[in-house]
Amino acid sequence: MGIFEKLMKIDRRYIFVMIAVAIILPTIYEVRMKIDISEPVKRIYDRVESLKPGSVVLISNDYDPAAKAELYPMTLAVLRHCFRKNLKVLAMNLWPQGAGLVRMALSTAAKEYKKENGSDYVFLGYKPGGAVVIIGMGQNLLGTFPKDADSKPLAELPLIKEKGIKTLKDIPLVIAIGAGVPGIDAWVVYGKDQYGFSLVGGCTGVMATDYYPYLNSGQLSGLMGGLKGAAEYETLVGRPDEATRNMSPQSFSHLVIIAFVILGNIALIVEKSKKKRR
Amino acid sequence: MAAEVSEKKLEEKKSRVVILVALVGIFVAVNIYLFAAGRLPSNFEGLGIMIAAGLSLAIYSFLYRDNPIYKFAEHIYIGLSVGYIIVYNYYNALKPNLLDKLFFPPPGERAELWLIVPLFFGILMFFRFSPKHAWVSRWSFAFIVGYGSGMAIPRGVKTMIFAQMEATLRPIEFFDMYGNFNFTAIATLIAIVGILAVLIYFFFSLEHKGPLKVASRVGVWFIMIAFGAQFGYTVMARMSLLIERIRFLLGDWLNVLRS
Repeated sequence: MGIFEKLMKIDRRYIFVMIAVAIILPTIYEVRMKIDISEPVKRIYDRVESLKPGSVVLISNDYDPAAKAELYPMTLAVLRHCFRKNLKVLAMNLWPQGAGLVRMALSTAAKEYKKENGSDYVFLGYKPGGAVVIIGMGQNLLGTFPKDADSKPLAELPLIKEKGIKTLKDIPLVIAIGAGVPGIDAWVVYGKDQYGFSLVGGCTGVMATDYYPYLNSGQLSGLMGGLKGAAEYETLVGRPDEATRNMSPQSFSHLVIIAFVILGNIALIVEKSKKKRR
Repeated sequence: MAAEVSEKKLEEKKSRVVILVALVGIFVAVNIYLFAAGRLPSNFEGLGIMIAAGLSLAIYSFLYRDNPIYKFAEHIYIGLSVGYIIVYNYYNALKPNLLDKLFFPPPGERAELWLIVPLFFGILMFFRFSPKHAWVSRWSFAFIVGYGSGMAIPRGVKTMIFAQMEATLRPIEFFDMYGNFNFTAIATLIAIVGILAVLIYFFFSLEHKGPLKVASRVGVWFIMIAFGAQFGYTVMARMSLLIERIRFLLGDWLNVLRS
C-alpha cells in the first residue's frame, strides 16, 4: 500500500489527535498572534465611539452556553467599551439559557468600571416570544418589561426615569449578539426596519455568511463574526482577553485542517491517475 | 464458526469494559490528586469544575467511539436543558403573565379574565399527546400559523427581498466625490454578476445551452465559493468551541495554564 493510499484510508481519530495537539500546545505555551481588524468590526467600534456619554445602548444577548466560546467574549468586550465610554446599558435575552451568562458579563464589566445596577445599567432578563417581544418593545418597552430581572419595577429605576425611555425609538443603538432564531434576523426584520434605530450584530462563525448581505444593504451597521470578530473587538477596546488568547490555537488548528485538505486532495488525484493508468 | 464469532465479540466487549473502567479510574485518581494538592478548591466550586470536566471528557469520548459514558452525558445534557427551559419559562412567562394575573391578582386589582382565551388555546395544545384527539390542537396551531404568517410575511418581504433588491440595484459609483477610484465598486460588480448568474442557474424554463450554459456554470462557481466560505466559518466555529473546552480542562480543571 503506497503512502497516498494509506493517507486515503487514515483513521479519522489520528486527525482528531493532531488537532488536539495543535490546540493544546499553543494554549499551554501561550503563543500570541497579531489580530488584524476587519472593516465590519471597526464599524461597530466607531458607532459605539460616536455616541455621547450617557447615551443608551441596548444589548440583546440571544444565545445559550453552547455558543459561549464565541459570543460571551463579544458581550464582555462590548460591555467594557460601553462602560468605558460612560454609556448606559440595557441588557436582555431572547433565549432563556443565556440569562446566567449575561448576568456574569454584566457583573464582571460593572465591577471593573465601578458601574451601578439600576443607574448605569439594567438587566431586563429573558422574555419569551422573540419577534413579538421586539414589536412590543417598539410600542411600549415598559409594558413589555414591567420589571427588570431582579423583579424591580422598571419605571422606578433611575436609568429609565432619567433617560425617559419608553420605546425602542428612545434607544440610538441596538447591539444584537445572537446564535440563531430569534436573534439578529428578528432584530433586522421587526426592529431596525420598523423603529429606525442603528443596529449592529455579533454572531457565531457558522452564521456570519448569512448576515453579510445585511451589511451591504445597510440594515446592519457592523458585524462581528465568530471568535475572530470577538478577538478583533477586544483588540480595538484595548482589553485582550479570552477571544484574543484563543486565536493562536484557532490558527494552528486551521493549519492542520488546511494541511489535511491539501494532502487529501493530492492523494485523491494521485490515486485517481493511478487507477486510470491501470 | 458462529461460536467463535460470538466469543470474539464477547472478548471485545470485555476489553471495552476494562478500558472504560480504567478511564474512569484514571479520572477519579486525577481528581483525588487535584483536590489533595490544592489545585482544585475543596468546596462546591471545585466539585462543579470536577463534574464539568468529567462531562466534557465524557462527551468528547464519542470521538473514539460510541460508549455508555457518552450516552450518559448526552442524556444529562438534554434533560438539564429541557428542565431549565421549562422552569425558566414557568417563572418568567407563565406565572407572571398568565397565572398571577388570572388567579392571583395583586390586592386591589381585578383578575384579567380575557386571559382565559390564551389559556384555553394553550390547553388545547396538550391534545397533541393523544393520537385520537390530536386534531383539537389544530385550532391553536391555526391561530399561531395565522398570526405568525400575518406578522412575518409583509415584514419579511420588505426586509429580506425589497431591501436586498434595492441594495443590489443602487447605481455603482466608480469614483468618489474627490475623483479617487472606489474599489468597493468592483465588489458590487462581482455581487451583481453573482446574483444574475445564480438566478440563471436556478432558471429551469429554458434549456441551459449556449450563453445560458456559460452563465449557469458561472452561477455554480459562485454557489461553490459561497459553500466554501460557509464551511470555513463553520470549521472556525467548531474549533472555537473545542478550544474553549480545552482551555477549561487545562486551566480551570488541571490548573496548568499561567493565565
